Amino acid sequence: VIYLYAIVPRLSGLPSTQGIGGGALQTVDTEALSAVCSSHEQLDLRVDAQSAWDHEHVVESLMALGPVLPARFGTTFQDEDAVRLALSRDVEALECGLARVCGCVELAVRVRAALPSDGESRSSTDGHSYVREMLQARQQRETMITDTVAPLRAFAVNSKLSATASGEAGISVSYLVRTHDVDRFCAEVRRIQNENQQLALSCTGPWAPYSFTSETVAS
Amino acid sequence: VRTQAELAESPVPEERTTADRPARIAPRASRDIALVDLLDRLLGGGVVLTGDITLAVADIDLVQVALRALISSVSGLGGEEPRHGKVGAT
Repeated sequence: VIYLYAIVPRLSGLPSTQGIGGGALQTVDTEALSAVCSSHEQLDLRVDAQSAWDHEHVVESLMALGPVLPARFGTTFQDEDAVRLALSRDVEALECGLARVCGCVELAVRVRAALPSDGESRSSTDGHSYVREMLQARQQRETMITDTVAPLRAFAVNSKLSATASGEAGISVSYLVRTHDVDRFCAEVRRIQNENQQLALSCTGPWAPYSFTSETVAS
Repeated sequence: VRTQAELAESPVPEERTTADRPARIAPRASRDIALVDLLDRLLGGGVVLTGDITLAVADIDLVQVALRALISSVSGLGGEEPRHGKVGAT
């Protein structure tokens, strides 16, 4: 089984990083692209922290060499020919994707607002209006959050809003940021947090551009 | 939602370049958030080539549900050594 980590412009050498389960890295090459993979006799793949970080470490080691299109976790092929066939089928889209993310990293921002306390006054007198009121309040909070983080967009090439988790008011946004703008982006996150103590912000990264591997419209 | 006290103790955003990635001491809550952010990306993002996706879709859905529960219950800051340095929570 061939496990795929990422697609990169054709490589002349591989980083020394080990892959999932300690597997050695190899490339499957076309004229312009390399698929970075590891070969396994048998692969019992699980979604756990170790496997996730193993995948990520390979991707990060490639980020130091140039643009990277990370593969979705769990992508496997029967053999090298199958990888080569998949690459050749999508070669144009992959090359466009690499050009689009070149020089950029992804930053993940989560923002959550405090939920109303039990003592908060409500005008609802029955279950139906209570639920409606709760939904409206949640929508208002999410609109407020979205407006609050809007200035971050100025420091990003692109952004993508993820679905919000049910049961809590908050948003999760991925930003594609030029490497040389990461400091300014983080400073803006700090400013927003300092000026909005009622919100809890988290910002992680830099990640490979997982959320921007295909053409995405800015949200 | 983390309390203000926890927020005040949280580290400033990570400011690393892709070429320079030193490990750093990270509170447990921040590392949990980093893992959730990573798994969200690994399972919901990335290039999808026409291969054999090993993982069953149902499993992935379950993982995502569990992770969304985790992110809302992250609380308390531990002082353990991080295994990974991909952290930048405010």
